[in-house]
Amino acid sequence: MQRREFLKLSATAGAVSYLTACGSSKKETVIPELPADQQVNYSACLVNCGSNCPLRVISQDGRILRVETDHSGTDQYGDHQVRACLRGRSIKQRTYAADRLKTPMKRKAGTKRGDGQYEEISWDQAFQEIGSKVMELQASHGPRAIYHHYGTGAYYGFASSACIHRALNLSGGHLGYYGNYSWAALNVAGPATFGTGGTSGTRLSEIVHSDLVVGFGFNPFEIRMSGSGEQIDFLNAMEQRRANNQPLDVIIIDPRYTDTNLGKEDQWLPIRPGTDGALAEAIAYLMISSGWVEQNSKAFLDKYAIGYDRASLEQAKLDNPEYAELIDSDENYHDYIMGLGRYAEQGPRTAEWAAARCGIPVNQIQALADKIMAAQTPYITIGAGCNRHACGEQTMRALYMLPILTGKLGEHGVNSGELPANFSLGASGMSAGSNPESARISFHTWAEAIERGEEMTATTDAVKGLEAGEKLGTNIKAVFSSSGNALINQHSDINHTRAILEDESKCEMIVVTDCWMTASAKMADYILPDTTWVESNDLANDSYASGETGYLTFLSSGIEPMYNCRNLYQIGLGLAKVFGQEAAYTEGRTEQEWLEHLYQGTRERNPELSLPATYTEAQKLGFVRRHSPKTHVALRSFIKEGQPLNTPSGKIEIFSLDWARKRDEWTPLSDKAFDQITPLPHYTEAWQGFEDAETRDEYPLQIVGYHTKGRTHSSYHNVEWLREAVEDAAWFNPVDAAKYGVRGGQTVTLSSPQGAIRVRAKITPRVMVGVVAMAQGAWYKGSTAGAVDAGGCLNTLTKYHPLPVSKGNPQHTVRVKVTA
Amino acid sequence: MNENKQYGFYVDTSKCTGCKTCHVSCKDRKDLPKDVKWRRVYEYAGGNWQENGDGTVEQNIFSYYVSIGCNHCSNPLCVKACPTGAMYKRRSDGLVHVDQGICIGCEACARACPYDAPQIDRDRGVMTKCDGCHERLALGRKPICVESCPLRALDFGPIEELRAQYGSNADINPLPASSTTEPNLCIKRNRNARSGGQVLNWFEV
Repeated sequence: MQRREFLKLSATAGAVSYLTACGSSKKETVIPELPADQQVNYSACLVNCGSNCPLRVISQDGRILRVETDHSGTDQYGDHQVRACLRGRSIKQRTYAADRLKTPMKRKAGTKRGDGQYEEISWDQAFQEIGSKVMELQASHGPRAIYHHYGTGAYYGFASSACIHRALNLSGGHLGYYGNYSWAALNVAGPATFGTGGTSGTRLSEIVHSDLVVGFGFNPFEIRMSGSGEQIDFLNAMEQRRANNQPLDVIIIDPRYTDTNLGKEDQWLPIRPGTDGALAEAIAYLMISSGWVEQNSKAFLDKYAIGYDRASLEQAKLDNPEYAELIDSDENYHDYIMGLGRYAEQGPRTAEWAAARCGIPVNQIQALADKIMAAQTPYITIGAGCNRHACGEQTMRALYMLPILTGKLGEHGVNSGELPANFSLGASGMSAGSNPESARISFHTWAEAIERGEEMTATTDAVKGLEAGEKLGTNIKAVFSSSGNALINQHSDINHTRAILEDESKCEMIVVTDCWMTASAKMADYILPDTTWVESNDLANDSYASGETGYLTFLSSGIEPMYNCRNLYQIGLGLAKVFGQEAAYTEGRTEQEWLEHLYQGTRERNPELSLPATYTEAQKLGFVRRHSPKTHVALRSFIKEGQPLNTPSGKIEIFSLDWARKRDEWTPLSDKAFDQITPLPHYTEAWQGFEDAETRDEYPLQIVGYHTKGRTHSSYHNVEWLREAVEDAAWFNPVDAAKYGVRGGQTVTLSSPQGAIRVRAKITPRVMVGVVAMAQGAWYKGSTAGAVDAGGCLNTLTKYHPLPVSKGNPQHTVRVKVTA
Repeated sequence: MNENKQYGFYVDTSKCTGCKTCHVSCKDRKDLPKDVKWRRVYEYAGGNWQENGDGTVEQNIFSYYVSIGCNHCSNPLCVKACPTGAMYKRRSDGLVHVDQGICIGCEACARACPYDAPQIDRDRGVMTKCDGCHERLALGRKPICVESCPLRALDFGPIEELRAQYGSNADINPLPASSTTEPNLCIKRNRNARSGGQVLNWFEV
């Protein structure tokens, strides 16, 4: 039936040859694929991996039989299928999981948050009690006392967490947040350097033009696993280039021998976590001290950048008079790297200086520098793992210097170091409406704002939306979390967070909406059960990092909403009614009318797709995709067309004028180097980092957290098929296993200054000596704040310590000791 | 369907990233219980580390994955080992199936198979294994593991066609020598393929 719908549609689509839909038309009349009593509906996997893969859910009598995925077209690159990975393929077990939340619940009187003891209540009682408390707090503390936290577990277009934001906005407003746990440091390092968001890098398919790929923490084969994800763009480009016998050298720099290696690389350089900036500065030293920059890229730097040397900064003073008094031309990159002038005492950033820190021998640093200098079209890219460190802002900017120093930016095949730009089809999403409250905190500081929000300001805590000199003025008194697990599991320092949340005199109400009893749900006062994707009518696009194929899925369901669950639109509506704002919330539309409304918006945004006239017809079609019709090269419009960048100077800022101002105006957390804002990128030793004298003797091993293929962050952790397919274990290098007496398969205790976990050990040569690799996202199971976490959640070990500019998260900076 | 064909699998170990989508999509198709894995993905790795004494290290580490279901061998040791005749090779397509009505769950087939293809269902006390997705083949589809692979590292078809397209190699570490069972399997060898490594992920397979 669906195939026929598609054939009708493609007959009208004319030249739109990229439009594809379910099934291949070849077998149209041969044999029906499904027995008459089975049906297929399109759903999608909506977690935060960067792709929203379509799922073809095959059901019978309202029960899921199995799950398939996009199977349309030729599957040749450019018309390749959007194949869901193992996570999407496990959705049946996730849907029927034993820990599904089935009915609204309230924490039992007399129990503590985190005890996990609840009583069932009606939806009416839940809405009345929650809504009344919100209105009471609005009256007593104002909207800044009400906060809805970050959560990315369900990228719906319609029944998303925007519905809860919408209801809270209609209650009188609430404290907002900015930023995210993935990209906090790069989202400020990118703007400081290039005036971008840090995600405007050259497309991976441009690697067909590249003779060198240098990837720092670049791991698309583990984090972008969709069958049309970034891994496929990268793989296709590498294969094309190698098949044509064009030169291509792929160098991966990572503490782990990741699955992006496996013979696809030409060289793996293992590196200590957090030291990539030291390596970058040593390479810069070799590029400058050899005279290569002077001969090859100095003219580029003079024309397109500010801050390389004294003369550049003198010119910048003239060109940017409003920043002139913040610029000291002694503070330039050349002198910093060469150890000249004010940097004489610090000395030059030689390969010898870097080698002992990063662990890469001097000759290999020299060889890497030589390759970068010799490359005609270097694709240098920096994975977001480099940004989630205590000094991640510095690391990102130190690494961005390498592509800048080559002077080859703007050419095909050359990247700026940023994450690759995505190609997406636009979908209209539910609007949260406008928030009457303008104040926003960094996503990472919410728990701190429960304790000292009233003191927070723009210049101490990077609060946005305040008047000059204004304090936030209130602590957070109510926290909502929807489709998220960052209330405890995914936030830094679980024991610290738990101690704050357990004190009911501070945060007076916690409301969690989710489908499963997550670690965060167990911290809630009220748990509201959401429906899952496969029970939903909705719409979704390809998401934010899905590579170069865009797509839309129009979700329908062959199974009824389970138990006493309601979707987030209905939950938001229930709250809005208590606030007396039903009409403003619904705008007079039924759910079906909202879906139609959002569909028509989506249809208008994609005229080239010739989408069906109605949402119902689109649900029958289920899925459309389109490969990017054009490419993207980072900074090309600036270099080739003279369009100024969105930095204060309009140029690439090696010396950030904005950060010079922030250094002047902001108050750092302490006088330590790692808390300072510096206009130039500086490799900086981190608290609990490799060099940290305070912790390195007691906690001799560094941990590098990584994204396991068996979950997306913490989503899907409760699926048995995935737990047995992808082992959760702490990886020990055989050298360390021998040194610390660790046996493979043994359960060990890992302790950091912040907490301790129990986890199985795996002995593997695929991790750097001195480093333990551990997948993040396992569900925390500690019984009290400070107790050993039998769930093995990495954030029981991490520290809460906001970064200087972003006030973001440093969750890859961890030192531990291991005991039996 | 043509008579007397022999089906087989192709595995491109240069593309495979060990993501286990094949393993999980297979489990979803038949709701396989815990510990029953009709398709398994072996993580093979080796090499050595050297600490230089100046804070730097050097290494020659290698790794790659090999995804294996059942190779529906031409010399199926599982069939020979079966005392009841429950394990049999289909004449029509060469697929090796197990008749669970006859199987006594003695696991002789599992002990005989060097690829670990027969997988015991302990709750039911019967042997299970990859059945080649015969109901999908009848519809002109390929096995679910093949169609699920995000890397397009798997293929399936008449073995002579696969060998013509991909070559006839069926050997790579850590698999047993292909001379043992004459597997209907084609393998593209990873750049890293060599001896001297070990399987790292016994938990997962």
